[in-house]
Amino acid sequence: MPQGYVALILHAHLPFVRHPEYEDFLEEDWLYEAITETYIPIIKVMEGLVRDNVDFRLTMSLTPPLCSMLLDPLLQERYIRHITRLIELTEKEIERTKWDRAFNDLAWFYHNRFQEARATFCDGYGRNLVGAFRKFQEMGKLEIITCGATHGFLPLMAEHPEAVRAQIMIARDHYRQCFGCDPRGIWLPECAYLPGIEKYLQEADIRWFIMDTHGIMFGHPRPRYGIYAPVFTSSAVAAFGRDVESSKQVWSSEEGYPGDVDYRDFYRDVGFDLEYDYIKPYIHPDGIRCFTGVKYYRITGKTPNKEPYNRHWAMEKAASHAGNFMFNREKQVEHLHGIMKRPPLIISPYDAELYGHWWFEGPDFINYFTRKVAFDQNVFKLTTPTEYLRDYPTQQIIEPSASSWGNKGYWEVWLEGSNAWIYPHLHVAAQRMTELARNYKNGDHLTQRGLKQAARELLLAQSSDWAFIMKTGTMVPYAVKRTKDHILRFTRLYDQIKSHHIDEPWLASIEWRDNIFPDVNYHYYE
Amino acid sequence: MNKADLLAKTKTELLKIAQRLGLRGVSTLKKEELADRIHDAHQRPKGAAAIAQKIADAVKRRAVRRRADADEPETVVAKVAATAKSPSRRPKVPASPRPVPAHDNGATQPSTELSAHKFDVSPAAPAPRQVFHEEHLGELPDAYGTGRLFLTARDPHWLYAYWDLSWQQMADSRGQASDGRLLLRVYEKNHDDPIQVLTLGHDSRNWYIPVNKAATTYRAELGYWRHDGQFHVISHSRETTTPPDAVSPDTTARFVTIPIDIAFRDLFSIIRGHMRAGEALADALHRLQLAGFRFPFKLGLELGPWTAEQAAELERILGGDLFRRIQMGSFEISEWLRRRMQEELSSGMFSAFSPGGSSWSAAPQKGFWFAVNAELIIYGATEPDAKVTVDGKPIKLRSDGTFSFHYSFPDGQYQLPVVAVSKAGDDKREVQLTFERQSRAKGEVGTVKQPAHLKSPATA
Repeated sequence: MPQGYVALILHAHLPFVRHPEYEDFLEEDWLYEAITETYIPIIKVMEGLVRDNVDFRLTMSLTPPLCSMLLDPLLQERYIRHITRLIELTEKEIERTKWDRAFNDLAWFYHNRFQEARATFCDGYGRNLVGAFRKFQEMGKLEIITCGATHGFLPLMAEHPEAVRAQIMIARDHYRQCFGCDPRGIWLPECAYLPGIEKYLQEADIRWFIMDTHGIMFGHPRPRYGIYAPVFTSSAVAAFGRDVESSKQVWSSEEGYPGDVDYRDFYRDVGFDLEYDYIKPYIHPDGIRCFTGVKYYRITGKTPNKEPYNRHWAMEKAASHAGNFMFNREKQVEHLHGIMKRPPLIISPYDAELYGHWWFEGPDFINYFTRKVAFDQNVFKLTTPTEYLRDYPTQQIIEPSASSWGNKGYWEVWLEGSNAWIYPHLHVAAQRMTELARNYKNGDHLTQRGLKQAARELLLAQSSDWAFIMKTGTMVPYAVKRTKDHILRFTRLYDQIKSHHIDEPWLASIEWRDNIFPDVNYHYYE
Repeated sequence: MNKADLLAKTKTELLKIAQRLGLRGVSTLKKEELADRIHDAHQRPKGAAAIAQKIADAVKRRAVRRRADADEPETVVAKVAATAKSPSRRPKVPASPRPVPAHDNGATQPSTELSAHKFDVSPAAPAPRQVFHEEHLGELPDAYGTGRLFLTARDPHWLYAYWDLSWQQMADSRGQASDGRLLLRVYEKNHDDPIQVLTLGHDSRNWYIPVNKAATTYRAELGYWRHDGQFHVISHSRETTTPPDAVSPDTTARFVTIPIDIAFRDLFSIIRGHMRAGEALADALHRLQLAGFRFPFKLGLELGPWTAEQAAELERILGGDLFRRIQMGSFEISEWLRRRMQEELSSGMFSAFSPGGSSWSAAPQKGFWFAVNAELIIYGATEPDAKVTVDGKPIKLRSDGTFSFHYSFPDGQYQLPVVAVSKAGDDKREVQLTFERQSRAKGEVGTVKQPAHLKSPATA
């Protein structure tokens, strides 16, 4: 009997960015980079664990927009183009660095790594990474949970309950298509919770969700076990609170592992460092320098003189950090168990893209940690929230507090000077969508196409990513443009449906562009 | 693609091309017209000209932004002042709550500004944007005129309100008012008198309202005083409740057993007929489990004892964490990461302004420094169909027969044979290149330099 449990939860999400109307589109690189640096490395880690018979548990949210992009043939094709170009670059790099042993080794390292990524993508899983994750779920090692249909910020749409309901039900439907079963858990977008949201989770038979620490701690009545046990909301859906201590060890910019001097420096990239004409074929087609993913230096320290990355040292460090993380969890669990007299549960949620994309060695850290937990200690066990609830079905009833995991813990990041302007438009569109769904539920085929597309445009406009980007102040024109386009397309559809004059060629063109959720069920808006 | 090529295609193929190019309203065109449109679309500025155009556009946009900044110098000054004197704690309730028009909001929320700067990892460089394919969607309306008054608690101490009234509706309402003023009245639940009455400015559309109490329900109404002395309400908001900002004093605990593998609908069926009106599922299960109702699953796991000492010890652990959380700002690192993900691409654009040189060479540094490195470029030309090897490795010629090759060039001596063989294999030319590099530095000279605008995580 272990003294406690730890659940690692990775939230994998990217907004739906897909532009068939362009040959190349800069923001699509978010997906390609995340595939090479995060999703494939995590898949490779799980492959290795299964191969070596290491019993592990991991939880990941794979959001509907991310799954839609991973399953999209156009983006799959473009990913192959992207990775093939990178392989070609590393071939040239192997030549270029032939007199420079340290860099030559690294050029080979990237070359092999990118080739492996392409092979995993194309041959290993037939371009279907959703299928790859599904495989590990079916083995009982990985628990995949869902999210809002388009990562909509639910508390700020609560005035239109149909819109909240649609975000959840459409996500549930999409999850069924992707994974062939119902989701047991959900990552509420931005961990944003408002009392009442759990009613829609109950309708979808979703059994639990993740909250930030204060969502549980400031709940009513006081949670006896703090964040070290889940609570049941009155709707019988469970809520799990984030553990601050374990999060900080990974996240903190001062004390966190990713800033170690032996780890790869994120910013030094040949896309910026190499001579322009040489690198031009591998940066943005318009000649804009950008990151390629080929990075040769380690963080080195607080010095401008960066030293070459040493893969061996970095792996040693990842193993030692994994050992440290495990040791701290052992001490934490022992201490909590001593107080609580029952096994505590430590919930450690992170953005998945932290691992690999930002913290290059992050997937290796998970690999070492998982192996050490299995073989080097017996204080705690890895678990998933579903497994934990199966073993411990008796918990306290609490009304959690409204909260999010954004800066300061509430709505401010998504509701402030830069982005508050979007809400009147989103609210009117949500209201109109309900009006359409109620009044035209028996419309002809074209009307139904119009209704489906209207639902897609509303959903895409609701992505919390746009408000977030507006707040952070970079790539703002793109986020503004996306918000406006989806609202304006929605509004035009609304007018056309009401006047019974649907412009079919235009409808076809936006169906072709915004093709998320082909079978979207707009009846949820009724 | 020239016109003849286009005309050789079927109309369906042309339509596909047109679609790819984002051309609209082409489906009714004749084939020749369609080919013309596509041809025209292809004539649009491309390559270097297009980049130049984009840069020019970006510069223009930046200039516009600067002008906009210049128009509001007071706002900027206010922000700086507020940033300097405010602690980065969770916002305290002001001694005398002063409502803030939305566009001044930045001045009152300094801690956001501070934490945002802390994670400044890339320059806020203006980014040249892609030229978007135009759909002629028009602009968003200023208002829809629904009359809705929206009120939400943004956090434990701030409400946010907006109202959807057109300029005309607002002007008309002002005209009806005895004093020409539109008022926003904020109420605490179950109180008849407003806790705040705000006079709306002519150009205001939304408002941030500081309130005293966390865990309190508020509502608002928008209206004006009529000439007959009655208050006319244009719109009521719904109620909104500020979240609590502290641990609940209520330490009662109710436990319930809810097996995860029994679907909610089945749990409802099990207790059908025993639920009370308006009772939530977990509450009903709890009540029935206490009352000895027979459930088809095992109830209750032995919970450990719970003493005041245990509670105090756990609170000590959690209290510390919660305090730190509030100081840090919840999950700012998450934002930092995501922000950086978005910035990495825009910082790429930074160098588009000096594509020929390195992107950071002109960046100002603290203290003097020097970094020198060398690369070797081999270039040449031969018949386009010849085979060329450099150091024994075949290389690809450009279509005009030219080639170039880059080598990093550390200290040392290097031999580099370059060989060209004609297509027929009957002619062969060869050159042996020998290079030597020796570096002798006086003082500290590096070989690479971290771009000044990119900070490493260690120094972030």
